[in-house]
Amino acid sequence: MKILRVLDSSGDRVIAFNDTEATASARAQAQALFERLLAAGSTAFKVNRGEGKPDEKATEFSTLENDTIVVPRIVGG
Amino acid sequence: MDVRSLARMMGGRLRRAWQHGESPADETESPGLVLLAARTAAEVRARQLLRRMLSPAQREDFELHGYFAVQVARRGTFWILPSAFFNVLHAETGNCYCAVPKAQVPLSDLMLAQKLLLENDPGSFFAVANRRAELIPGLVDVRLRPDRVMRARRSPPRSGIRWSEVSLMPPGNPLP
Repeated sequence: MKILRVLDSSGDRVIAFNDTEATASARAQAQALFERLLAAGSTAFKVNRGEGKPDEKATEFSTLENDTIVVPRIVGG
Repeated sequence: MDVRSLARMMGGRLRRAWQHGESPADETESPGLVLLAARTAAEVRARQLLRRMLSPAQREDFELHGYFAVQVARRGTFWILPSAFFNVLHAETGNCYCAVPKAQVPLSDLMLAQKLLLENDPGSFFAVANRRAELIPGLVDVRLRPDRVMRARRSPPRSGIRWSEVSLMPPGNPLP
């Protein structure tokens, strides 16, 4: 199961999906959300990648691994 | 209920929530309290996520001091302080940077967002961050700089004024 965490006012919103045919609808919804968020200026990072791999910025939904955090668009404060 | 009582009550609830993972409030309470409880619950959730994402050394610093260090490629060490504005302190120069999520998020989420950006996409962070000098680097040891900044922000504004700060020139233009 893959997890997409979107940081928001509640802490984070979790969207779970996987690559099986049975959950194609959930995956399509997750992909639509991911692309909408990135288009709005959010940034996604692959985290908890295992085997000592460092976190990495993600720009393509197809490359997402088990755990992804989406950071809202940042602005100068 | 005065602010102090409310803070004490929420502090107790927050502590219990952290210790036992329980909800900080129930839905039958006043709207203001429910809103405050929701924010508290969000902060608890965000803090748990942040702790999971920190490296062991960062987690140790965070538990001890409330802040942690990140290494930024070609820029050096930055401290992420528990503050909503100008909370990214460059260890070397003493400059503080401010770039925050546009959407409202709990403080721990803000710190997590900054950590992820600084470690993995620093260009995006520095492209929008504002900067200000927070301390004079030569006067404060590197390791003490985060504490010094946090202490300065906690200290109340001075109520008194020194005579040397008072201008003896009368207001307006006294010259004919």
